[in-house]
Amino acid sequence: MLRFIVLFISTCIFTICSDPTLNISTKIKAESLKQKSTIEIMPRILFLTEYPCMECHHEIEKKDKILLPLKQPHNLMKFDHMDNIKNCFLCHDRFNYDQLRLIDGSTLSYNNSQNLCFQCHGEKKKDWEMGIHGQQIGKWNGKKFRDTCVECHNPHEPTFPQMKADPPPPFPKLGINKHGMH
Amino acid sequence: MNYNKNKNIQKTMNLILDKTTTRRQTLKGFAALSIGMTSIIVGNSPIVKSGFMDNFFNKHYKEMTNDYKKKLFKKLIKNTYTEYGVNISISDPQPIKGVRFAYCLNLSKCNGSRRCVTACVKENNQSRNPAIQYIKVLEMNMGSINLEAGDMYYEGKSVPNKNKFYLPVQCHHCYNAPCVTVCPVEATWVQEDGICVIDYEWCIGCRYCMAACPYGARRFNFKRPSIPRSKINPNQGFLSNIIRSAGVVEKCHFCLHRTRNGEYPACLEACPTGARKFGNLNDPDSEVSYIISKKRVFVLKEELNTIPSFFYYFD
Amino acid sequence: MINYLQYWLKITIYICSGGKKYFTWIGFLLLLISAGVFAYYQQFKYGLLLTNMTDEVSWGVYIANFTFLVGVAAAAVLLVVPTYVYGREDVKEVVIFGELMAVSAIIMCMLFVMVDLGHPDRFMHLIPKIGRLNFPSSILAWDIIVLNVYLFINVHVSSYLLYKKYLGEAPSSFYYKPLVFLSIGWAISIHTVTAFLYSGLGGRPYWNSAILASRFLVSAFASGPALMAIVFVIINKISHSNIKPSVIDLLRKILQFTLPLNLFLLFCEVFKEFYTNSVHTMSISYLFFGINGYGMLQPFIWTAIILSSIASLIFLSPFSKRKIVLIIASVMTVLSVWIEKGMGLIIPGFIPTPLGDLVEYTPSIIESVVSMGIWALGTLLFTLMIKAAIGIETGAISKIKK
Repeated sequence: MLRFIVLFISTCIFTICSDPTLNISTKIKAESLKQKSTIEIMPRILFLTEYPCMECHHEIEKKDKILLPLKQPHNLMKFDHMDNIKNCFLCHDRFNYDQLRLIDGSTLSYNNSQNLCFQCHGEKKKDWEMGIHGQQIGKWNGKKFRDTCVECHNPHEPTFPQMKADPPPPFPKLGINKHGMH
Repeated sequence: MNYNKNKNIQKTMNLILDKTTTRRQTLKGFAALSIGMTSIIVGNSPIVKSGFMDNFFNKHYKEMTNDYKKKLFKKLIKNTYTEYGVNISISDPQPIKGVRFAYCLNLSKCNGSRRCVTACVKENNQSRNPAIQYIKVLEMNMGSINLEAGDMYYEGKSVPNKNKFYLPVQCHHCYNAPCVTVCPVEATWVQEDGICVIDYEWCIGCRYCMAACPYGARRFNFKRPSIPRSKINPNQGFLSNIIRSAGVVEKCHFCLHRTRNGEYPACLEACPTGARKFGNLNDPDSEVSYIISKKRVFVLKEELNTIPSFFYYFD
Repeated sequence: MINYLQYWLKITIYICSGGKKYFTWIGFLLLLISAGVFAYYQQFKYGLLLTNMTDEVSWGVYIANFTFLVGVAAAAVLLVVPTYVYGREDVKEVVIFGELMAVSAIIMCMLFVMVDLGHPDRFMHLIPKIGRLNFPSSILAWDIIVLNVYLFINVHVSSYLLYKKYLGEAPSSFYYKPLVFLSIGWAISIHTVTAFLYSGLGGRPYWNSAILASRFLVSAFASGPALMAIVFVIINKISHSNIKPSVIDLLRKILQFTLPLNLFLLFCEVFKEFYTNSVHTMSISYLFFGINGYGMLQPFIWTAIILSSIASLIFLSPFSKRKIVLIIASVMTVLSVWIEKGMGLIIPGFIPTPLGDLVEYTPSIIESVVSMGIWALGTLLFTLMIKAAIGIETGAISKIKK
């Protein structure tokens, strides 16, 4: 009887210790920690057409408020964001148009403009940093490329634009129209 | 006795055939007739011209050795060149160890642009006529996830339409896939990284898997797929986007010729809003791990216990 | 060996001789068969696009016919049981006809599946060692095995008994009785497995009901005897074989029971769907009432129900004792079960699709011609086999020269 109990217990211990799945899960964790994906944020400045601003704006203007509409080449800009504030210098640095401005007064490059948006849109901050807000392409196990907020959201008119969808699939020959459209 | 019996048989044959003939002649005639008819029918068939009967003795993917695969791929490359004049390459990437793919889709972001549908068709050499599209985008009314009330033929002049949200559906690569259970020849199965694949050279086209799929994810080639020569994607994977023949079932395969080499699927790269996220569930730093742990994900038709790899969430 | 060849030769000669009506019938069937072959050739060449099946409705009239014919094959058990279990001598004379009907039905089933396949040249993939048969998990694999074994059992038993009759020897129980008893359970199993093909699919709520296997068996036991009754009355009329009226009465009694039961089970299904009134009732609503004015199947299912009800009443009344009334009622039964089990079960299962798509289906011309061709082929085989069987039973074909 005693021999059987010892045999049973040792078999159990042996099986548990040699359980292959136990080894694999720890292995996966270690490997993934090694392969940390690198993220490259596309520099926004490369896509700005009228940059650097100080090339045209040699002098800092004396007024502390700018009224719309703006003059050429910014005349097409429409403002539809925080309508009640209408103060350009909330986000743009008054003394250096090549920089943006945070709430505490510190300046910020256009390449890091997402930090400005995150001041108010905090709920999007963690999501963007983890790569789940906005498009992120590249390699799922390697280098990833991500854009700043303004690639998709025009900072002055941030609502994501309506699009024209690609054509629908062909309606089947014997299909039933259940919505009364077409 | 024997002589009489032979004569009897001769007589009966004459009766049956209504003319004097010897047995040998009759047999020869029958043989010639049958061979002739079969060869006319079979030889003229474009199906034979396209190599339909070539793989009469082919092997199932799981039984293929590396040498066999090399020969088979060479043959397929040659066939594609003869038919379309395009040089292609066929890869056979194996599942990466320790990887379990998952796909997450943010329903708050999808605006129904159908760019994913177009990109998938471009990437995967699908038939343009009749048009086969792996992804179906359903326009749903706010407040309901009743798939049967969705509309996939919405026009979309300016999406998103008011009070609607959009739900793209493609193969969910279920862990407990009903399509895998019902295939009578095991032409479809789930590989270690979670991707449900089809061996197009083994499928007999019985369409039982199409009846079994609860998400309507599978498509059938009712005729030989017609792909314009210029639109053929030459980077092909054997289990993913080789040019299929008539009479086989196909579906989304998570672009395994791309994803098993580290790239994202074509639908993800085309999505303009970034609603689609893909990655390795076993990697705690991946996007999909973060989504599943932090967001309110759900799956479609959960009560059927298919355990899909495709998760939806509202942000 | 020589005996056996001579046996086949004598059968061939007997089959090739007959009266004007016989050759007209055979000629008509051959015409239908050649039309079917031509139509199938078109389908083989151009692909299944020539059918009206779509991604949404991926099974059509081929599988509908297959389902119905498996039922007809299973119904042979209704003659086997009275003969071998209850020892009825009058049924013993006709049990061969039932088995031959099962053989032709199974052959028709296999042909229907073959024409439905997208790649019929890959059918070898279904053979266990040469291909890969997904045996325990795929019900279709089970179906292939059980149908083939049932075919083998019926072919063996009927040909063994007929050959022994031809030789004038008494058949030895060892070579056929165990198989006969096996075929009793096996017949039930072929139709149960066919029902499980549908009822096991969670993604199709219209099919995913427990009652489906019972409905299939009961409707098989309604359509099978009806078909057999028609065949037996015709045989009595045109040949010198004498099937006793008690056999036809037995079939009538079976129909008195199974046909109303079939209607009742259909009513159970209808009640459950309409009373629950969940979203999944769209399939049966479409079948009975159409959607948005589209109701291709409505005339079919209502005809089936009306015919079935009238036929039940006829069978339950004493009028059905008359031959002509019996034939009319049997034809009504066969038609109604074909509609309710074929088009009324397969097609609404695909409407709506799992994603809510609504696509109707009606057989295209190619499909109808191929189906008719296969039915004609089965009928031809059945005719020839019955003729040979009657010849052997009555002694017209016999080794012993009279």
